[in-house]
Amino acid sequence: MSSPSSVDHHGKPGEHHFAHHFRSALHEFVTCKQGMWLFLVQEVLFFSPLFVAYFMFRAQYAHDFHLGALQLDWKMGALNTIILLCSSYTMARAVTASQRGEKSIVKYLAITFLCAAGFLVVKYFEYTHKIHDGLLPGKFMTNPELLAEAPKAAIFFSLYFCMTGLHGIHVIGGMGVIAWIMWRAHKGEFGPKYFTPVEMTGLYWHFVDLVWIFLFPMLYLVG
Amino acid sequence: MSHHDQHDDHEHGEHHILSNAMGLKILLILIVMTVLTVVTARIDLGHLNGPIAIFIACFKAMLVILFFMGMKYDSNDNRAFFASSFVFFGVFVVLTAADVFTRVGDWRTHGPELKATMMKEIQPKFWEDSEESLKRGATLFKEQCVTCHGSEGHGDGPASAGLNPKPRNFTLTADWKNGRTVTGIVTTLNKGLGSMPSFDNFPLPNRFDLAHYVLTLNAEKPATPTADQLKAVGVLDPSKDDGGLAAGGSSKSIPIEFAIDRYVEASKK
Repeated sequence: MSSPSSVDHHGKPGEHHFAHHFRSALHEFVTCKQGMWLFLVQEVLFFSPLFVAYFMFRAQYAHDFHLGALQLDWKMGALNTIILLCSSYTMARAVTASQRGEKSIVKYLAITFLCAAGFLVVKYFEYTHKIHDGLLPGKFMTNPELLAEAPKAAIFFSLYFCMTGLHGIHVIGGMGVIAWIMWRAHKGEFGPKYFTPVEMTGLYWHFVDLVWIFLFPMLYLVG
Repeated sequence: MSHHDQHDDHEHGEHHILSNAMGLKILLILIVMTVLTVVTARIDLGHLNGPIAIFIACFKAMLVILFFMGMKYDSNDNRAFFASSFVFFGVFVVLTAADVFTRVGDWRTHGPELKATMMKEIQPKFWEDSEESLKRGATLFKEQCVTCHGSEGHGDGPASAGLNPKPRNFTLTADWKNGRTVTGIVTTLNKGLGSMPSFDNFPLPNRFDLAHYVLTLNAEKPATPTADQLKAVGVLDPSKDDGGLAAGGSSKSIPIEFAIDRYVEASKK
């Protein structure tokens, strides 16, 4: 976001200059942040159909959903919850570090990135286990016990894979952005005067955590 | 944020820095709440388990939003934006629930009645017309057929408006695709026809009940089915009382309403 035209704003290399259509750096910051919140509003609505579907089907097929949820490993889900909460904390530390101009920002972003990777590794083990047991969406569910006792658990697994899958895509996207921000932080682009990208990435990452905070009890615990 | 005076930015936009101690405190509370939600979910509290888990999740979400996302120090505009998304989510849930849980074909109202009608044992010579069979047929017709075929069987049920070709008018005798016979109707129930789905999830004797009932909607007597015709629709050996069927008839599964009713009962035990 370096200013393309204005001669007045040229300073030492790597320093951020607010774009010419803003009055000040602060004006640019609050505008970016407002845009980010609007994006997150859209994200809530993006996830909401799956949540609505979950609530409606669970109300109708409570027994089947319960048996479906029992097939999930709550320990894996709890582990991933702790991992994501810690990554949210390290992300918040990275934002604080960039606001204070501390070098530790790269370290905290790296830990956040590794937490995200760890989350995906746990998810990979869960997915392979579900696939192996035939606990798959809709007509692909081949688990014999569930087919006999709770055929509508197929809907539960449709929702399980859609919700955790969409969330997982958000985690992967977040890792890409965190890696990019980490690279820029390494080059020393952020400091007390300019940390907008770090804070926006933080907002996004906390939102990803937020979704998981609801998915964990809904899918793994009370089903 | 489009005002012209400079001080406006300062009103909303002062940077708030989350202290390390505060961040750590929030993280610890979040982890404690996670342990709490696991513990409460593993205690059986009946219908309270769900609401408690959602309540704890909301509390955790509030902490993340207020402190990690800094909403506590953010502008009222941004607060209103984010809150609005949850308002719309609420509208989405309420309107969908208002639709799903007030449908006439609702599983709550239909389960017990169907259950009483469904045959638990195969009656001897179930493919032959009897008073009992007609009674079961009438109940099943009311539950499963009137939406399209109409309460009098004129093919004018509420759902018929959207169908082309129109559902069959059972009071007329001409042009029945599979023939106006017991086995002809059972064939239609077995395989479906046009927009009509297959009803092979009903036990076969119940499909015969329906066929017998439908044939009473016009006074004209239909042809008696031959052994071959009976065999073609699933009565493998008409010389035996049970028609050569295994116990339970040749139904693949049971109707959803009936199944849910059974699940609800089982979950109460």
